[in-house]
Amino acid sequence: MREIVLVNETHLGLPPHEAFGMFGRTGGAGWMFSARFENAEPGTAAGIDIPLPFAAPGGEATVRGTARIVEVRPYRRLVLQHETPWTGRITITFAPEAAGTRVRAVTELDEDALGWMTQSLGCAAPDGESRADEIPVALLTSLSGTAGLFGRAAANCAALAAEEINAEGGIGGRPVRVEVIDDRTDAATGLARLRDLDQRRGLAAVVGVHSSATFNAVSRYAQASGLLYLYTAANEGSQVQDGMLFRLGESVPDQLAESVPALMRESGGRAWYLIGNDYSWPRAVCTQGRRIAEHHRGHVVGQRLVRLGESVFDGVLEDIEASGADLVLSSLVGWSSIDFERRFHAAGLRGRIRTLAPLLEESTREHLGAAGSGVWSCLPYFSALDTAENANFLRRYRAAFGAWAPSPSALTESAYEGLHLFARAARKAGSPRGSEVSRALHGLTLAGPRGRVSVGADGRLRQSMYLAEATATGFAVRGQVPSGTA
Amino acid sequence: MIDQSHESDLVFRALNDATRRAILALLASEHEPTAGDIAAAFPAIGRTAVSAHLRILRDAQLVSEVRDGKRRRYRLGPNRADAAIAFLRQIYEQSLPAGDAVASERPEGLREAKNG
Repeated sequence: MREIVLVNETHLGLPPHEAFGMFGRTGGAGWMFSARFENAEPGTAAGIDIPLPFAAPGGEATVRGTARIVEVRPYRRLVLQHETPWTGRITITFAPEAAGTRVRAVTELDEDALGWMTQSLGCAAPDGESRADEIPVALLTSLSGTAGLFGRAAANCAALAAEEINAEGGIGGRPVRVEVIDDRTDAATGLARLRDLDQRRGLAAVVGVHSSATFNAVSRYAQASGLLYLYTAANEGSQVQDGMLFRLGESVPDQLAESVPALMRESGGRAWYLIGNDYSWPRAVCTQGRRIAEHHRGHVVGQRLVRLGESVFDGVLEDIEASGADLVLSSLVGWSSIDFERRFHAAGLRGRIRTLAPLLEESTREHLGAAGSGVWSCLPYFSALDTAENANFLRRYRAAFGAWAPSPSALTESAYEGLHLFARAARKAGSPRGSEVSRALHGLTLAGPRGRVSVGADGRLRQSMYLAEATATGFAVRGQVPSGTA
Repeated sequence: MIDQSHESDLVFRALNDATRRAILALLASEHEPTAGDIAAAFPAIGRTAVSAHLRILRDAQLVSEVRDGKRRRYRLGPNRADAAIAFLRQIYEQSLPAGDAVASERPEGLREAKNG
């Protein structure tokens, strides 16, 4: 698995404990890609900024990725596991020497690092060895950029599903092969890479766990080319199923109909401030959130949409305080959400202003730790769900990807359901052809980690929604509501 | 995977130069620039020297030439894997703080053997 080994050394004119203490400190630029995390202890998620030797789409000179701290031996040794955009392991050792410390980093990178980099050099998405009888299915997700922190768990869930499908004999004896595409949280990149892979490999289907901005770009291509497209991420829910396009993810009304009044009841607050990124899904959350709040005799005292990827929120926090809001509805996504919640927590606002963040799931929460404690969310899956099916699923997930792999969430676990629904429909249809699979999908049911789900005549998923509150270490599930109630 | 062949000597030689690595980075960022575009991005070096660098990169198959009327345009490939490794090396060289001393880098490992 480990393809490339890189060794770097440096001498620091500091004793080992001071050199060690520099790791993760704010302002310690250059230290392991400016790794940022809540606590230097095993299991803690870290954000990293990887400098690129060339310009990324949008002209950025760095790419945002994630890592996990897996071992800490004070003043001697630190081990990090790379999660996104590629996987690998970095071991940093500290040895005292004359007038300071020798710091050594051994980086072992997996093959996907090479794949990600060659893709970035204009080469087509995954180009590995493939068997002629394989059924290629793309997982279109984000492994870098603002939504990049979701990608590793989504890829893991898709890989686990494929392994299970193939262990059951695949589809008519043919194995399913999942090809992961990183859209870099950029719609044009997602479209270009998907089109390229489809034209070279002839995809049977694409499972999408990405932003609705990418969905809007890719869905036109999928429709025009007759590609079966299972979009399993949370979405606006404004349109019904359209040919071979399935919006299986929870809709905005699914997420807000019960959670908005529930938080008003719980807190006694009525004055909402709406904050989100400026693209289609957050705009729908603001519109629907306002409607639902007003229906329950609440009102909106302020609203702000910031660009996707925004990381500075000082002005927004001042605006929220000045507005007199006692509730916040946040449709910030990925890193924007993390940066906002950290600042909100640091400003001491958590005590008097309650927050509902419908896309705050495990991948996001694991970077927040205690800073996210008290935020509410409403999603069709939490890894904390106390069911035998889920316990079973998590056991298989941990066995396959290790104790420190990112926890599955509603967003990322949806790739698992998407793959299994595809396989089940293809077996029912007796063919992996998109047109036949799409007909067979209607009325299909599946008992999975999130409970029993079924595909309705409108192409949407019927499933339970769960209301949960983030704690310093996970989510506490507060209630269950059916979808489609709004 | 230690490759002693002529081809890998060419790759090693091509990548063992900061200007040539910068040219690769430029080709990764921009769509098929001409030799003139590339020379313009490296004003301190001079056109003749840039042409020499491009020839070395081409011999290593890290860069290929495309005819566009009278002009020649350049793009990465066909050998993208070695260029990708060069970029990964460059990224991790920056992963430790330089501190108050000169950072040294000692490549090791299988894939690195041919580069180091």
